[in-house]
Amino acid sequence: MDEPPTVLSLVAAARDGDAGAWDALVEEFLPLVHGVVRRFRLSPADAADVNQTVWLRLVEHLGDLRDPRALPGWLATTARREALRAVESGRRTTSIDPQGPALDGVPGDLPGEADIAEDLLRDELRRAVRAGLAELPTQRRRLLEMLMDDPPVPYDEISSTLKIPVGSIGPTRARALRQLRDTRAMRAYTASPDPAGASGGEGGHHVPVQ
Amino acid sequence: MSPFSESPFGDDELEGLVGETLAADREVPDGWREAARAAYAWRNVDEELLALTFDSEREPAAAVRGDDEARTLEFSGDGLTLEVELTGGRVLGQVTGAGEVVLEWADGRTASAIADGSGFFSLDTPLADGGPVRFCVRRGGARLVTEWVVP
Repeated sequence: MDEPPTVLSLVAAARDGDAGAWDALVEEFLPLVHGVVRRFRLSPADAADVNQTVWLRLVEHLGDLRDPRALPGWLATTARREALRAVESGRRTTSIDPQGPALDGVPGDLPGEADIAEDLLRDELRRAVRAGLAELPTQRRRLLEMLMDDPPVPYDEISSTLKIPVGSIGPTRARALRQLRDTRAMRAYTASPDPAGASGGEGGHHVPVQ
Repeated sequence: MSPFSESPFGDDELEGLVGETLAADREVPDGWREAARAAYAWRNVDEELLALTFDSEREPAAAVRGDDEARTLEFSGDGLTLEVELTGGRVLGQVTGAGEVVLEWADGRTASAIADGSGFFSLDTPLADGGPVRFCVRRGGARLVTEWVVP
């Protein structure tokens, strides 16, 4: 069977110098890193520094990441730690400013490990959806993307872009969703004994083909 | 744990997930992808990594200190210790054994200094708002690099 590359194989390839595998890892996990970092409400510049540091650290640690299946957890934890450091650093530099809102902050305001665990679970589901979408024929995927765009694309525009009658959009949507539900990625997710578990099992961690 | 573990996703629920997934991808700020991809250029299998073993900012007391106090970092590994003190406009440091110390920014800029006989060195360079940095120590023919830190 022609399996899509797994996180495992992408990590191994990136370790061996395959820049394409690295880019695929970035595509796969950038939304997770962003989701964790945004919780900390850092300035755009500080948040960008955290993101950059997380990926620089991953480059350093590619070689000693013992179990690549732990990569999502590693990224989320590293992002949280770096974001916390940025928050602390901001508190120090604004501590002479009596108006500094950071001063009022108490540790309880900051995202904790439970929030990060929640992000990890949600991200695993989203990665399954993303991989499932990548399995769909282009036309079907485009339809779902246009329907769920923000703001939504009007039906007549969908009709002219995808060359399907307005009256068929509803039934085609239903077929596309059925097909998505039946993709390898989505079936692997729902079949997994611990579907949202960060450890996951074989086959539950497919990523889209590059 | 998962509300979906028994039954397959309903149409509306699945569609909502598609929307949520697309939104999560869309919300990644400009520049983050490029920065993440570019990080790979720093991959180097031959360099010895000096781990961050002390960071004054991560000490419990750091939160109550004033901003005039320098941040102290210590890196070590492979029998070498590098201590640096970061202030607004300069970096003071000491490395075990003399050698060249190069400060590297992730965007490719560098600044270098030669450590004296006692291992002391200083770099007159502002670090604020410059993004992640690391230190590189040349010892004999070897290059040792520290973990990345955001000053």
